[in-house]
Amino acid sequence: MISTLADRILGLAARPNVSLQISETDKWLVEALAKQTSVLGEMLKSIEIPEPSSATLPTPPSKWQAVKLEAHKTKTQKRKVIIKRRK
Amino acid sequence: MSLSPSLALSVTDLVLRLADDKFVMGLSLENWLTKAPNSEIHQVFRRLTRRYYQHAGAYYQLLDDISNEKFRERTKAKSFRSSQFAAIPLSGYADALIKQYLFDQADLIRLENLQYAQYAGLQHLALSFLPQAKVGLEHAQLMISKLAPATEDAKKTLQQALSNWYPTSFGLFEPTTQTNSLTKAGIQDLEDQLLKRFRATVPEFIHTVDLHLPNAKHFFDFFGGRSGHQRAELTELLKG
Repeated sequence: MISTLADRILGLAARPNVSLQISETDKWLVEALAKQTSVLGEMLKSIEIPEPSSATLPTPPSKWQAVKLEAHKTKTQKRKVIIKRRK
Repeated sequence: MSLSPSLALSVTDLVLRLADDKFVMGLSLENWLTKAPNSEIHQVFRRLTRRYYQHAGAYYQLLDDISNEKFRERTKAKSFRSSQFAAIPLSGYADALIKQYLFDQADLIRLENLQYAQYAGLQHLALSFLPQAKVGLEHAQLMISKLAPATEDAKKTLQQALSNWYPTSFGLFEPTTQTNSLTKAGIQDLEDQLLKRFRATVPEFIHTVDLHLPNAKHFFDFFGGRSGHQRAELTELLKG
């Protein structure tokens, strides 16, 4: 069940805005929003959630730094080979 | 840092609670999304739902590193360790807003504590989630502070939601048999201490918007989730 978490996230992103109707429970909101006309715009700005670069990486940073370093080394080595070939 | 078997048990208990809370909170919001009163609110709560799922996913991934149990394959409500609060369904926007406010305020208090955890995996996650939890909390505070004074009806509706949800939110800090071990190992403070911080922080904001907090004497009634005593609504959410 929980293995479908990724599907749920993708599903949320793909889902079009549904047809929305104010229910009886939310009628109070119509008048409140009419008095606070700028609030929806402010709300959208307020929710600009920063995407954490490593939120899905539970491994301690040191291990990931090592992986990054390894990748960097490989790139540098490739560059050296290309430079040598050019020479 | 590798965990000793007994500490691994304690950390698993904690991370599972955190993962299940976020997952069930996501389910609860997702279930309500189609009833959102307008497209802006729909958009915001869809983002919040995605964030809860992402955090849950990262916690479950951490659990894979420290435990051999297959937590992702659970289907029965009683195997979940989420608070009862997370599974309570939403009947309208006021519910969604107040529940999200209380959940993110509780989350922020916990993450601020876990950023000093003596276990790098958890500390790392807490540090990555902190900025997002702050943004979520600020969103809820902004909306409550704008809407509560807008009309008498708005104030009354938000007050009613707050009176319903506030005592149930204490379940987010329900202690478990591992609470003391976690504190001794420097992972996090006692749940009781975190709850005290929550009870001191919430009134600071609520009083500024001229709402009042209800008597929360019966908050124990909403404990039980951490030991698998779940509400019937969780079974319904898991089916969805």
